[in-house]
Amino acid sequence: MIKSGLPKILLAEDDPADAELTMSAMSAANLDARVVVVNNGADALDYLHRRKDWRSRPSGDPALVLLDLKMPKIGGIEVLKSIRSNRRMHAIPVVVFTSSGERRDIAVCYQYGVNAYVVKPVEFPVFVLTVQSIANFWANVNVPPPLSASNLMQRSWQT
Amino acid sequence: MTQTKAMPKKSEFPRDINLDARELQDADFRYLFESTQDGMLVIDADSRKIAEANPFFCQLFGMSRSELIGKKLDVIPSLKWLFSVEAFSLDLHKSGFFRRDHLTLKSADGRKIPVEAICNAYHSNGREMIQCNLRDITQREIEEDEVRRLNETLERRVAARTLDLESANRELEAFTYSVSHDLRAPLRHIMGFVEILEKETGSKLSEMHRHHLTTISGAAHRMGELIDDLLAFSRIGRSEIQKSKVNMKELVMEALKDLQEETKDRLITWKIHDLPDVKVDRSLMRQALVNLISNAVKFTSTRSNAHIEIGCEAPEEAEHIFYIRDNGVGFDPRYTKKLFGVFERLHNGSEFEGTGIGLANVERIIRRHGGRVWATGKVDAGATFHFSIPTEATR
Repeated sequence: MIKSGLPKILLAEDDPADAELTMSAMSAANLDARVVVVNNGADALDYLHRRKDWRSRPSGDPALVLLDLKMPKIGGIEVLKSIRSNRRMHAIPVVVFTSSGERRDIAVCYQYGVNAYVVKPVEFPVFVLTVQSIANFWANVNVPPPLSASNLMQRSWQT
Repeated sequence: MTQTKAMPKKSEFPRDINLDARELQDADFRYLFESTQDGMLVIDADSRKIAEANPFFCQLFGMSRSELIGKKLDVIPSLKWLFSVEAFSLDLHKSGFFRRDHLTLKSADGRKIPVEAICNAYHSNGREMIQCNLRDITQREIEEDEVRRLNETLERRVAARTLDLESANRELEAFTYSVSHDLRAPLRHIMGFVEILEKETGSKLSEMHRHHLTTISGAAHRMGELIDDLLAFSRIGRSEIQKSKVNMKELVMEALKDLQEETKDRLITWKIHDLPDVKVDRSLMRQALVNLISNAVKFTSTRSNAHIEIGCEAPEEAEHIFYIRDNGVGFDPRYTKKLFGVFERLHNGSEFEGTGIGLANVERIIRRHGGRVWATGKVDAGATFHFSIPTEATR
C-alpha cells in the first residue's frame, strides 16, 4: 500500500523503557518494521530535515510523528512548533504521547496544532491497544494531505 | 503636653461655706471654669467680642485674660470658623450646638494645636452668647495615628503572610500533581515488563514464580489507584469553585444514580428527607455526596437490613447541617480524627475495599465551601457523618 522503504511512523521517546514497551506493542501488530525511533527532540528534527546522521535516509515525510513531551534539550512542544512553522512539513500529523495530563500541556499542544493528545495508559493491556490504534489509524487509515495542496493550507501555528 | 496641671487637693478648694445656695452654685461654676483642663471662651454673638476666657485657654493660646477680654474674636484668627455660615447660622442657630473634631487652633506664637471644639449658644441678660470649649487633642491624634499605623502594618503583614501561604499552597499542589505524573512512568514499566515476562516465559515458570509475578502486578495496580486518587484529591484543591443554587435533595438523588452499581444487589432502606437549597459548586458537592453515601453503602454491606438516612437538621442562623446516618459497622470514636486524613483507613483492606481518600476529599470539598465535617459513631452501632454549609452561601 505504502512504498516500501518509507517509514510510516517517527517515534521520539527519550525513556528507553517506554520506547521498548511502545515497540513491543507495535511488533504485536506487525507495525514495528515501519517505526523509526529517536530518543530526543533534536534527533527528531534532524531526521525530518535529513540532516547529520539522517543525511542519507530515503526522502519523504513520515505518516505520523509520535511525540513524547518531556525530552532533554529539545522537548516535544518545540518539535511540534518547528514542524508546524515549516513550509514543507507543516501538514505532517503529530500525535503527542505523554505521561502528563496537565491541563496546561494539553492546551499548549492544541494551540500549536497537534492532531491528537494521548496520555500513556498505566495498565499494559490498555497501553498496547492504545499504541496500536494510534499507529493503525494514522499510518493506515488516515489520508495525508496531497503535497500540491500543501501551499493552499499553509497556516501559521505560531502566536 | 499641656494638660499637666494637677487638680487642687480637696482642702485647697476655694469654697466659702457661708455662701447661700445661689452663690454656692455660682462659685462652683466659677471654679469649674477656672480649673477645667479644656480651653473655654465666651463670646458675645452680636459684637463678636470675647466676654470671658478661662486660664487653660489663655495658657493654650498664649495670651493673658486681660489681653483677650473685650477684644473681637479676630484676635484669634484660627477661630474664624465660629462665625462661618455652616457653624454659626446652621448649627448654632438651629440646634444651639456645634461640634467639630480635628480643627486647628493657631496659638499667639504660631504653634498649630489640634483641637476638638464643642460650642453652645445661650442667652444671658437678653444677649446671645456663645460658649466655646476647645480640647487639646494632640496626644489623642498621636495615639490615633499610632493605632492607624499599627493597623496598616498589621494589614500589610496579614496580606504578605496570606500571599506566602497562597504561593506555598500552589507550589505544594503543583508538586503533588507533577509527582503523581512522574510516578506513573515507572509503574507503567513495572506492569508492562511483568506482562511481557509472563508472556515470554509462559509454561517455563513454576506456580510459585507465577504467583510472584501476580503479586508484583497487583501491587503496581494498587499503586496506580493510589496515584489516581492522589491526583483527584490534588485537583479538588486546585480547581476553582463555581457556586450556583442547588437543591440538595435533587443532588442526593443524582448521587444515588451514580451508585447504582454498588446498590443493585443490596437490600437498603433509604430515608431521604426534604433538603434545602444551598449555593455550592454543583460537581464538587455531588462528589462529596457520592463519597459519603458510598461509604454508608459500603460499611452497611454486612447488614441484612441496611438503613441509610439523609437529612438536614433544623437549620441554625448561620449554617445548614446535613447528615448521612447508617446502621453499619460504625467506628471506634477514639479514631474519629483519623477518619478524614488522606489514605487513612480504619478498616482492613480485605474487609472493605478502598484507598482511604474518600473522606479526605469530602473534608476538602466542604472546607472549600466554608463548612465543617464531623462524624459520630460506635463500633458495630452505625455512623453519622455531618457537614455544614454556611447559609450566607445560600443567598
